[in-house]
Amino acid sequence: MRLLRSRRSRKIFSVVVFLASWAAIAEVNLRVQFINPLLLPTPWEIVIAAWELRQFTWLDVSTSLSRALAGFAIASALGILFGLLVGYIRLAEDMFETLIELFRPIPALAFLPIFIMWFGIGEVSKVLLIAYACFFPVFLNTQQGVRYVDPVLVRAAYSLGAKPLQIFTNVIIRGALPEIMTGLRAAIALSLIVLTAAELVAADAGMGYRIQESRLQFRVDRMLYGAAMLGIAGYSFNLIMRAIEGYLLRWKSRVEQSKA
Amino acid sequence: MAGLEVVGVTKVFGAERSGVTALAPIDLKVKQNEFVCILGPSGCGKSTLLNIVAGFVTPSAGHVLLEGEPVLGPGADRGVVFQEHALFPWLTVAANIEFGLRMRGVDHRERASVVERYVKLMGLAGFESRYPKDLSGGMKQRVAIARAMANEPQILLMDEPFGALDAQTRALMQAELTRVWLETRKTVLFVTHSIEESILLADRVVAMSARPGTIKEIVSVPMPRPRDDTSPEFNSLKRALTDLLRTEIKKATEMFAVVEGVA
Repeated sequence: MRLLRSRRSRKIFSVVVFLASWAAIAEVNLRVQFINPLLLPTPWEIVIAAWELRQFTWLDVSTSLSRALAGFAIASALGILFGLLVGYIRLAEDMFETLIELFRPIPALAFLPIFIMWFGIGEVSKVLLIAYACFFPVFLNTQQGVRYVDPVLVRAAYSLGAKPLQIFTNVIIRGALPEIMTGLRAAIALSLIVLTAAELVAADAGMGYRIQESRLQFRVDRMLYGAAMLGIAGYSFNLIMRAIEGYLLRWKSRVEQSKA
Repeated sequence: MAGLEVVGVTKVFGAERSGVTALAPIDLKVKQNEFVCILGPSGCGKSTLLNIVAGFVTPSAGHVLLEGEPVLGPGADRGVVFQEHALFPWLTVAANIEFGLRMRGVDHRERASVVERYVKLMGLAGFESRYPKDLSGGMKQRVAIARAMANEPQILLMDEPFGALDAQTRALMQAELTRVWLETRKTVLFVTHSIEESILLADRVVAMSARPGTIKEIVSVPMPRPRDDTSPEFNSLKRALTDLLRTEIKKATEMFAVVEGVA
């Protein structure tokens, strides 16, 4: 088809087909009442819900994003720091790795009620839980990245006169950067998951809170609107991370994709 | 005229008694401004010897002196060119070349002039801001040589630098290295398993034998550069070295993986 020649049009096409199918199914359901139409709103009912809730949009988005980003920032700093240390320094590996690996398999959400008991239902418990959950992917990927830096590059740097600290900053960190970026991308996606869980349980604003509040009002349209906001937030995060990654890793060669 | 001295260097991999002896005592001198090739089959310990001189591997016994100073580890006085080029993939060609100078805190302007000089010497003009991923194998090795030389080491250590290149590129790089050497007269210790390459490049060829790695013979190459690899002198030298190494190649293939694998 001529319409689908450009890559952009193909990407838009998939979204349009999805929305059209949804609208069609919801409209048919509205007439045959196969299930209660309240449970299956049409796409435009979501738009109307968004309009009705417009006074809360900025509050919800800014509250949620500041929680997610604060947690993500703490996790990134600590995850990169510990990942570099544990990956590069044997003493740090012996001291920290077992402890971290013992905590890592516990789903972070298991700590949600505990964190609420410890830190209350305010911002602190949410930000700390997000930070805790996001720490692991950043830590793990950074540590792997450090371990698999090409040893020939370290030799080359030494024979060019680099000192151990210079090797660390100019070869180890630079060489581990692709994996560090992978960890950060996984973490930012995880931050929204943990954020939503925390807001569903206890909050007074935020995108997750809006879903929970709408559930109590039996407003599926508003609940889906809350989910859509989270989707847009996650999509935007990913776009930003990919742009940063594309810039920082512009030296890396990429696999040629099939043109079909 | 001290140059490089390898004195009674041995290397045993593994346990003291049951280990594999990669190098039996090696004594070798490389004079200043001399180009020496270490020639031998895979597994003869030639790369191990180079790694000991580079300071990456510590010898089991003996020591290495450079200008009378003992070698205790890798250092900027010995520039290394690796078989797998070992360029920093996240740095541009220019940034790779100036890496050593930057580590030593040489200021920006001086670095730029050094980069310009070696870009010109190695025929890299126009590629300064490219990343290694965009270069061919031959170009990468040009950058690797430029990077090692820009640091102005006392000696250049080259570990089969053209081993991974195709035949045409390899011949071109050998001609280029000869041209650059005639211009700079840098002291070079060059490891290869190619008899032709060693005769093309070296003032002296150190033929090594395997199991354990020892120096079998040192052959001088008195031909003027650039050398013609079809000349009668070239071929008679090639025949002599081939005969010399024939028994060694046979011996080495039997234990192929053992030593090189550990090195």
